[in-house]
Amino acid sequence: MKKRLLFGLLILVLTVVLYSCSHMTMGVGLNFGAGPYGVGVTPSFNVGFSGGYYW
Amino acid sequence: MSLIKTRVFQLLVAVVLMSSCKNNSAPAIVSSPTNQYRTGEVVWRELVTPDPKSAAAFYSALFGWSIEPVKESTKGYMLIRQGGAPIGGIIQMPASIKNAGGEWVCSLSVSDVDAIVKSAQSNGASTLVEPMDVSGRGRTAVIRDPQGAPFALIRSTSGDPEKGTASENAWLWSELWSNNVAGSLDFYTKALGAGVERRRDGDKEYTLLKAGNKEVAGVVKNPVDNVRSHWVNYVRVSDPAAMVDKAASLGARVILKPTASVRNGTLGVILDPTGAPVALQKWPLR
Repeated sequence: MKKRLLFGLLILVLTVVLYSCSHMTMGVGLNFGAGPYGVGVTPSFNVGFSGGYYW
Repeated sequence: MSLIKTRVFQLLVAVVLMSSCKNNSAPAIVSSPTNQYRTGEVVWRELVTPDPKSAAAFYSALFGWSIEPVKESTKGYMLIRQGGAPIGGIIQMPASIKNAGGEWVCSLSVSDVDAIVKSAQSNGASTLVEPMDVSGRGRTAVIRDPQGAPFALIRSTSGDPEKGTASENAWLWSELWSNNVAGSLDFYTKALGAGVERRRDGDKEYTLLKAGNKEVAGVVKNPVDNVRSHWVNYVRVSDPAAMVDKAASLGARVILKPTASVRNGTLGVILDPTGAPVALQKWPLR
């Protein structure tokens, strides 16, 4: 009986902990995919790009 | 009776654990509450990167930013401060994403995150992170605009940072580098209610996104070949050429050295050691 109670308690604790902590994010962005530039790639930049003079 | 006691005990344990293992928490975006909102403006920036430690070392050395892990974070969230004030964060990219570069994701202040997400979805955006309450921070969501550029929305519980003149090595500006400028402008005006203003100086044109009469960001044709649309964040520097060299010595890749043909040599663009683009801009321009 005691074993069954302890086992039940263990399952309950694990379930609660795993569920709660699986949602910890500490901010936005963790579901975010890869950035626009791959690792080790130096892309070509169009030097005709003028942007603007104003802000 | 014994069974009831056991169940009560189990319930208590569950309650204690759930309250101690707090969901979705993050540091506030201001040191102390301002209770003021800069709706439509970029008020926060977070670097999503495969290597937060390397990124933190790089930005600390380049800009003198203070970057510390947040103790309460189990996932290594780092808070960036400049002059004691929080200016951004660093987030670990999931390890399952291989050979990925990092990206700075800017957060726009909005009054109703859920409403803007719905509006964005109905105008062709996809949702990367559904609206959620983040303890200590506010309500947030992350969306990808129809051209593929991700950005975040935030309604901070403690208000937005006060806007001041950017000091050296501080955030200066944000700019959308779009592969479809017309499509981007259509989206941001319809989904977020942004205004658009085009300014011309000789043969140089610049398009601004506005919130009321406030200039909040620029939109330009993506100058980089074969790269999806993305937001680029600008840091104010006094000597772009020297900062580009310094960045390179710290492991950055230089994609634009300051040159007279681009904003009179006042702009340098680098990829940090984890692949995230950052613009180094002398200000004022002339």
